[in-house]
Amino acid sequence: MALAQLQTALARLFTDAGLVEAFCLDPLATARRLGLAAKDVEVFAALDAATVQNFASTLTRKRILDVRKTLPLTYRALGSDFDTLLVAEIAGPPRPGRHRADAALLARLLAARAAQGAASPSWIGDLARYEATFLVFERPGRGVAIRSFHFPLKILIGALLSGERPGEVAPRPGFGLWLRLTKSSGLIHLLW
Amino acid sequence: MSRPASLGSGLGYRPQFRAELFLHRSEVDFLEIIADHYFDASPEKLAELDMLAAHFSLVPHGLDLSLGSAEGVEERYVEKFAALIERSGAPYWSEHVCFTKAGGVSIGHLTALPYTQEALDVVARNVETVRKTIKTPLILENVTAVVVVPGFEMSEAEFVASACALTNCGWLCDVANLYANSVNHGPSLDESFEHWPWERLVQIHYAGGRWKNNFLIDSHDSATDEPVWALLERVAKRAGARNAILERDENLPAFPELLAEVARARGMLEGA
Repeated sequence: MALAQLQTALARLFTDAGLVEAFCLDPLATARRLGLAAKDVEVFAALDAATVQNFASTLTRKRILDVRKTLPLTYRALGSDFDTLLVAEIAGPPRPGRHRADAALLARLLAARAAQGAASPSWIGDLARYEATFLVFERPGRGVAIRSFHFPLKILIGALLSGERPGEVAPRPGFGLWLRLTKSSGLIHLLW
Repeated sequence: MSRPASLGSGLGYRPQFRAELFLHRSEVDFLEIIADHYFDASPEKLAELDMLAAHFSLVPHGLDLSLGSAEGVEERYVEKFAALIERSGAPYWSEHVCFTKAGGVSIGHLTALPYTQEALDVVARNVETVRKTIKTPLILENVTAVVVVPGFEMSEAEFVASACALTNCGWLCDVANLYANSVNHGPSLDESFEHWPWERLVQIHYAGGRWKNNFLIDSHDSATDEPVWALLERVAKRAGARNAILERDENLPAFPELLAEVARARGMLEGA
């Protein structure tokens, strides 16, 4: 049981930026707050603060790299802003299915900002929603999804794939269709 | 423990180089696949798995079984792993001596265990549980310890050797992790070398790392460093290793650069 409690405390520490901060200020008080057995309080409080910070930042970096791969065009479009927005959004422990969950969170944030007219470029919400829809179809099972877009995604995606970083473009409505007819059939995807 | 098949010098499969991999089929002896990528997978991903299995020997490598979790392993995860091993026709499979989740928190990374008897007992119990479902041989890998838990009762080498002995598993020796832990925390490799379970060695992992704040990170994002190559050669000679896998996850170079590393490792295996 003692190991289970120690592992739970370590897992919380490594994935919670606030707890890392508290630990660096006062390791013993932080250890006591986590409900550990007396001998494990000592073990926990004796962890090296620099390596704890190092590990926590490694975990965050790993999450960033995974989401960059999951939403590659959105990353290409946003550049370094991608990491800044993502880090603010994924504070706290990873959710199950981490890279998909983190990517979905960022896509929702970008879509919400775009809807409020606060996104830059203004089409980034459409692009993130477009890429995030593919994640739904990475899982087994049949299904269909139809998404409407405000901007000409086909043109924007083509530009991003050829290495450009497009700026603002005029709105032009479009639609995307994702369709898997049976759980073993290929994904049909169309973008207008 | 009987040693599984001799497979040669291979690569950790990444979808980004799939096309070039098939163009250079004869230069890669076998592939290691990340098991977790094929759980709850789409038909496209399963088709990829079947295509790889038709052309290469595959070894599934797990990331999130969490064999060191005191709470035990997840039954559903083990079942998915078993199905993947059967579908891929793997001669053996591998996981890490570490924990990745506890108390409902998924850490999202391989986390070193305290080097204690209690942790060893947990690993042994979990491996026994897994074996009820998966009969294919399991080999255990040593991890990078970014944070070393104080209060240890034995060295890392003794801990990994005991874990392999208690479970009667083979050892997947990650030479990059051995090197990183020795330079980050000590003891020196010369001091610890003979304490590792060489008689149980089945496979080697090697990769490039990155220095940050005087700390060597096992980042898999660069070419393998020369000290790691030297260690790989030493290990191959010491233990007669027959299987090695290059791990490269980020900053993928032109494919011939990966092939050159695979060929260099093959030379070391054959020269042992």
